[in-house]
Amino acid sequence: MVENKFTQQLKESFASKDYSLFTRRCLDFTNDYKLPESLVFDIFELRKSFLSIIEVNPSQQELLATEAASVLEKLKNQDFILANSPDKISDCVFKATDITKQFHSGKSPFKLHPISFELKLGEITGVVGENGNGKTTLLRIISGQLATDTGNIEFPALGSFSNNWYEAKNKFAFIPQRIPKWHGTLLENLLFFATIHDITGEQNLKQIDYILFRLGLDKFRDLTWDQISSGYRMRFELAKMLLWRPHLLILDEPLANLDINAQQLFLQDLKFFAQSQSNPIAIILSSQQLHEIERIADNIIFIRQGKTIYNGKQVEFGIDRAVNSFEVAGNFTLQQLQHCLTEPMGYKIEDAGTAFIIACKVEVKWFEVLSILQKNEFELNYYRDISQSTRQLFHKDI
Amino acid sequence: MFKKIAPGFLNRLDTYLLTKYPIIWISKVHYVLWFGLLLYLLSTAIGFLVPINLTSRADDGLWFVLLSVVSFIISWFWGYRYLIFNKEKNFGKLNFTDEYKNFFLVFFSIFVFVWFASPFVISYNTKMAHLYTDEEVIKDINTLNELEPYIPTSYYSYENTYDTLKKQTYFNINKTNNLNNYTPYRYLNDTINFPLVLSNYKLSLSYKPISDFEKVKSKVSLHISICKKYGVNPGINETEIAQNYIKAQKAGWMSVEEINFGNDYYKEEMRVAFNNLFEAKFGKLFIWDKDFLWGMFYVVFSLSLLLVLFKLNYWKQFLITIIVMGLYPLLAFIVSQILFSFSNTEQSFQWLIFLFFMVTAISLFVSSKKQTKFSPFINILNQVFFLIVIYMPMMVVYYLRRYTNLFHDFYSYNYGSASAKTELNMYGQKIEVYDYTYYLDQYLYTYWQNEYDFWFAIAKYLPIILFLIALPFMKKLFVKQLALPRRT
Repeated sequence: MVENKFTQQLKESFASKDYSLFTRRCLDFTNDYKLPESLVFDIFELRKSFLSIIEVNPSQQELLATEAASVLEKLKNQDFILANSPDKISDCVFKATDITKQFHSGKSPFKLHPISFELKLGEITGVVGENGNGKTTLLRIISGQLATDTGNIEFPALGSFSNNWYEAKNKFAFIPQRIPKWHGTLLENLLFFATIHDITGEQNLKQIDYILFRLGLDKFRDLTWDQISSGYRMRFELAKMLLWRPHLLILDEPLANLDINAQQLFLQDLKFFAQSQSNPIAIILSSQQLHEIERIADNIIFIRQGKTIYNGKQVEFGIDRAVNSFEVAGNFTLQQLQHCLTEPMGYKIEDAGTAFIIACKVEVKWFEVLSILQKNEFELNYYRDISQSTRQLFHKDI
Repeated sequence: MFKKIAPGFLNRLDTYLLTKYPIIWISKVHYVLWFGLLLYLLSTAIGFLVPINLTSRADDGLWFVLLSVVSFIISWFWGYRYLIFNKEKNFGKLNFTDEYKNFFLVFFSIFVFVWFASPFVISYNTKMAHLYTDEEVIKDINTLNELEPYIPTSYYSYENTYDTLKKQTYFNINKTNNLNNYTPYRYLNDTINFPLVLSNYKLSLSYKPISDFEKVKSKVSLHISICKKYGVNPGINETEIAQNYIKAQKAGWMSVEEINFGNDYYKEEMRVAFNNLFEAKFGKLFIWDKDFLWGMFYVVFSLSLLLVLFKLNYWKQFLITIIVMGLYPLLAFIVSQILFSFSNTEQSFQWLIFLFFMVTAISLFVSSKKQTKFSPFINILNQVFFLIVIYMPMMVVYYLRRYTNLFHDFYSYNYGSASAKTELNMYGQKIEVYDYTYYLDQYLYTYWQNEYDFWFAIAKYLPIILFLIALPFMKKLFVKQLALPRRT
């Protein structure tokens, strides 16, 4: 078995009895690598068993242990050959240089100020910012719905078609915030989308089985638009797009209609899909779930009133910061906080509504602040180090 | 809905086509074929089941309209199904030959719907044609024609004259004319194909005036029975008719006022009945008429164009295009009335139409160049070009004949007057004398008519061929625009 991050994750999930992750990653194996039919069959059966147990009695997941162990054992003896070697002309799928867009009409004219960025295969880019600040405008430009006023757009990964919007849209998948209504059954739509993207015949059916079981949508395959909830519509839309292995996936507020568990699962899956060995995808998404986005994003674009406040690697945000920031919430008041967090560490505290944001010198670590709060017996129910989070950018004073 | 009422094999075929041949699947041609076949059988069955009415085609006309309405409704349903799964608007992989397949399938499907009422026409007509044998019908026509002089319902059937002094019309029942009343006009003189139909001459020989009341009455009875056989009730009294005949026969020449002819409308019904029977038996159905078929072709072709165009464009742009196509001629008419009222307004209207066509043609070159933004204006012009291009060459040739001397205006040429000279003959009377130019002009007339027909045929067929060849390029142009980012 090839030891890599991928297989390591498989072992860990098995060890921790996280059969949801285990079966999902096993299925990803079937999609990324050439495996014997019998093993593929076993993996699908395992996933089916998992999904049926989850539906009936989630507490009985342990029944899967033997089956999962058998699959893992078989996987150990495999030579992994990639199912599809990505034909890389360039890792860069989308390149924007100084693009701008201005809307003149309406009561409040809006301008998206010059912005340059690249979207690369295997990377996730999060677009964050307050409402009405240009996130959707930017995503619509990337998806080719909206023309720019100035600047240049290229699709280097498309080679000779680097300026052809039809070819680009053939490779780009856009899931808008409001998913347009589709007709027919879910399965019919999946088959259709796979076929029109040249995934035909047996391969079409296999790919659909993979995506339906992978995203836990199998039981919905014969349902129509009116028969599924908005959360599942989003998942279905994701299935529809991932099915044909796009180069770029654009998602506008995909978490809006998902419950908290579904959000976590959705984002985790996005990360896996982006880093697929056979079909890596560049993903760009906007969301208000800042911390969740930051957890999976490789790059962050923060927009405020059309201006790019931050555009770079997520891990590099705040690397040269002057202050550390912590977000706290609990059963205490601003005065109580101010009373215990005093100079000389330069604490500044702001009431951010449901939480307080504490700013202090960069030398102060998160556990030191936590320790002070603990000593003063503060009843904490929320604590987060936001020193390297764009969360700070939402707060103008700090 | 298709799936719920379709047999299992068809649904399996549907899934197979969906995974292998999306163009065919989108067109739903397999369902069109299956349900089309069933509907055609139904249409045929209705044709055989509907009672025949020989004296009026209104009933089957009504059925024809009804079936056409049904097919129209079904075609809308199909059209909706065809449009909701759109490969182009979902930016699927394009193949060069896709549009040939797509257009053919759309054309075929629409044709199936438009042709839906035709099996009814054929079966109804077949049923009518086989109601009676040819010999039987001809025999009855001959019999009725022979009996006609013995059934005096109008003095027109006999020799008659108007006495200007007495100011009365007189007729003589012993001498008959207008003998082949019941023979359908189109077959009246076709003695080669219908040798058994009695000619006027033979009929005139066969008429012998009779003075025996009972014999006349039996002839009237025979006449009534034949009429009733074809569903026509004469509503006449045989004794009264026979008495009238005997009275007139004895009188020789008599005034029309001395006799009560009564109603003869049923005879017209009989003529219609025989005419319908003959048309059903020996005539060509209107659905096989060349002009009707061309008309059908253009209807189906135009509907196919509209559907394909709708599929390749934003619906709002499409709608605007249709509005523009409706409003532009009106605008051109108003402009030609206002600006060109001093000259030929009709001609200027045509030039404005051609100008518009030229602009749409130029728009193709603009849109084929590299574009970074979607241009609604250019897109609409492209769509207009797509819709009118096959018709414009025909219009051009037609107007060249009408407004220029290119085809020597043969239509308005009044041969006989141009080359005739008027001279006086030996009695001092004016006579028209023709020289060779008179005959030459006739030849030229035929020549230029043929020349026009030739060019019109080219303008009719060539654009369709070229258009079909260019379809993939046109499609490429539209999908390119479909993918371009928009300003808002």
